[in-house]
Amino acid sequence: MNTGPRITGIYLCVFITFFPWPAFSTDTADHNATDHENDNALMGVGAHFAWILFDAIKADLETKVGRRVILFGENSMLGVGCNAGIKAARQATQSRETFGFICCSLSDEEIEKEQLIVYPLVKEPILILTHKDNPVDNLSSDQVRAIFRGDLTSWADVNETNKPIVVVTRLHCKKRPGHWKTILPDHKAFRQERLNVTSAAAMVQRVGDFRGAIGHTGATWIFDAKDPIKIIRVDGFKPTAENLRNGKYPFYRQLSAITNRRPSPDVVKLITEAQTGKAFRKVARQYELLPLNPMRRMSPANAAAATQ
Amino acid sequence: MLTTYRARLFFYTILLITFLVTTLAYTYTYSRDAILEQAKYNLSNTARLLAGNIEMEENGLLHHAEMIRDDPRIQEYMYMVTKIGAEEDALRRLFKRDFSWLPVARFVFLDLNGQPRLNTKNADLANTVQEHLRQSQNNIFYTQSSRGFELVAWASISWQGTPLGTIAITHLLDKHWLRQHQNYSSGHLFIEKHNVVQLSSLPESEGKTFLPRGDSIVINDTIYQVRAIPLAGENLSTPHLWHGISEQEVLKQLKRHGQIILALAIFGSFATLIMGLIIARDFNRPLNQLMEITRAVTRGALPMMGQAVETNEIDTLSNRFSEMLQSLREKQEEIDRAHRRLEESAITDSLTGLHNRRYLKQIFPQLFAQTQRETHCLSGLMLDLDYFKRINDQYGHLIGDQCLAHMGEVLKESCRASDYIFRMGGEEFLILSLNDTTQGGKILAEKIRDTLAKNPITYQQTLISMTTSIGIGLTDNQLDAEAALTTLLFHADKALYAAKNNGRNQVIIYNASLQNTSSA
Repeated sequence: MNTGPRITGIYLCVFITFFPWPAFSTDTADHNATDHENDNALMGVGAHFAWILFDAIKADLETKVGRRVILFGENSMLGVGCNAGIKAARQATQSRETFGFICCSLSDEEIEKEQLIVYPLVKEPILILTHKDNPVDNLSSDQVRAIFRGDLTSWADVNETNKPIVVVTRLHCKKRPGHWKTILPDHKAFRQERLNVTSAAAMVQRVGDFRGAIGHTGATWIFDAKDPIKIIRVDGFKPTAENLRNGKYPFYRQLSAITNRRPSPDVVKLITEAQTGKAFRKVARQYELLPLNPMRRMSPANAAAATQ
Repeated sequence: MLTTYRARLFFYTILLITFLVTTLAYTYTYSRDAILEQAKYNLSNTARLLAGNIEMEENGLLHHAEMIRDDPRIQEYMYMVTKIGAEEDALRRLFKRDFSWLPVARFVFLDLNGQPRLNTKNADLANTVQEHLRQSQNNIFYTQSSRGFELVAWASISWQGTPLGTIAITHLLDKHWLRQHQNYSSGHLFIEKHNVVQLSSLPESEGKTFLPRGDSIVINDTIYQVRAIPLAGENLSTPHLWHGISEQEVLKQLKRHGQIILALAIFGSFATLIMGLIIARDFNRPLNQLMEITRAVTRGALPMMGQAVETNEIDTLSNRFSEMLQSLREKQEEIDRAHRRLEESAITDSLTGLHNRRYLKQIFPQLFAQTQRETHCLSGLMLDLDYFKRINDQYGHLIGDQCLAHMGEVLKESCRASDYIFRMGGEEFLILSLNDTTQGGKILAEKIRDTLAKNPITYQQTLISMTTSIGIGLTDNQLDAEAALTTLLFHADKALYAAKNNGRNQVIIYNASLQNTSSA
């Protein structure tokens, strides 16, 4: 058998594979450009609400600040938690301008320990969820707390439905104030016989699985129309920004941005723009979030000083 | 015994055929045994492979049961269902959402009371698992249900130390399962229980008694080599799995090859026989020819023998023999020619080239017989040169010899081809002439006498004239040959004498008056 052509073919393949061809690919060029731009970008990392809120106004922020903004969180495992946001804020440098997002209020000790500056953004209603087949539409805040505490274990205690209550909780950030602690202040106070989940998605799924389930999650969660769940009123009030403002809706959490103690001017400018900008408020309205800062009431520099 | 080469060649051919057929028969027999042994070996290997696969399948099913057992959501949901009293649908939805990919035939959750909490339609499975749990703690076992044979794996579920129940999942051992495992071999799988084939990839075997003797069993008149494949938790009441392969299938290929071997044996034997016959014929024909020619040579003949194209040693030998025969023939012809020359010289007069007296005695009986047969007249003309002694004396013997030779030439020219001329001695000649009448001899005699007289010979410019006297005698056809010759010569001599006495140079025919005259 004549092996000459085969050997020639092999050499040709090896040559084509390993020859240092010039980078004429458009993709490769784009990647190189992206890498370069990333070096000059402002990067935000943290709780999942960031990509809901900040993604919506990213273009506006980039225009206002004049810098590229990259937000880690959506479709990423890197920045979906408060701890990741705190870490990103702490690790910011002159050449790596990062900031974070947190979904819980931080204690003064933690702020001091981590050398952080907190930029409050909004109050987010904590939604009380039940299965859509559950006839209940409204519970008093005491009933909610009694259910989560385990004092009420059957829906028969609330309405005519004779189903056992399945409590679903997501008790994260246990050492920080706020969040679910507006329902019950301590995780030990919650009913022991409960389903404990680690994500908002799992919360929605568990509540959807049990017709007698009750759970909670933040208002920035985007529900699927197919999810067999519903949001009930508490004390007769819907979880809206207005009801938070007037104190009628009792369950909420505070969403904030954080930086280290030496934030770059552009990062401060970006966060201040988010706190006071028009675009951010529009998105907040969409998700029934209560902004914690008046619109354009002070300059970004003054806002930073005031926060300190 | 085998004294001839032909017999030996025939014996060798038969021996070769026997060797060929024996070798092929032995090869076939040995191949059959070897193939069967190899098939048994392969069967054992395949059985081990199948046992390994089934063990993997058993472990895989158990692993899936344990995976379900260890899933925290299952544990939580199970807790909610069994302890809180939440609806089972939640557990079903979870199972469907997260475990529907599991390759299981059916599943059932049992609570601590052994009651099915999900898939109540699988209550029989729950009962089977309950029954099994009372007898054994083995997490894998086989059972027979209304759906058929099933492999069952179970695992206990608890949550935060609280026992909740049991999850049981199954694989169905159906035709598809058999086909799936049968793909590893060319044989068949038999699921047997209580010595009866319950399920098989060989449908006709189902319901048949299954009692292997050693490693083989006969099903539908077909011998199967079988090997047991161990199953988890096997006991007398559980099914047993066997893997078998029919000897017919194993030997199918050999059978096809056996036909080829048989064809080869027949063809080889036939070809060997033909070759042997051809060789025998090629050897025999020239040998027979040589032997016949040798016999002919022994009898004195030298027959013709053609030359053959030399393709082998026999052809060369035949050609050399042919050349030898040709050489012998040539020598024989030389001898014959010499012999003829000797014979001719014995009956020929060297001076005149005419026949001599000896030939007269040889030829006369034939002529006489012809005379008698054809009732011709045989005349004997006795001639004598006149005064020959005087010529010899006057001119010498050489001239005398020339005169005799001249006389011979005259006689040859004057006689017919049917006439016989003899020199009887000295200057005396005899002519035997067959004629229709007695006058024929006289006419010939006058012609000779006249020719000789008119043709003298020349010697040193001198003409020497010669004459001859001729006496004619006739044969008596009533006598025998010898007596007739004697009588003829006597009568011719008497007539010659009379011609001499009458003055020579004349012809006289014998008559009775000359009977008592004295000869010359």
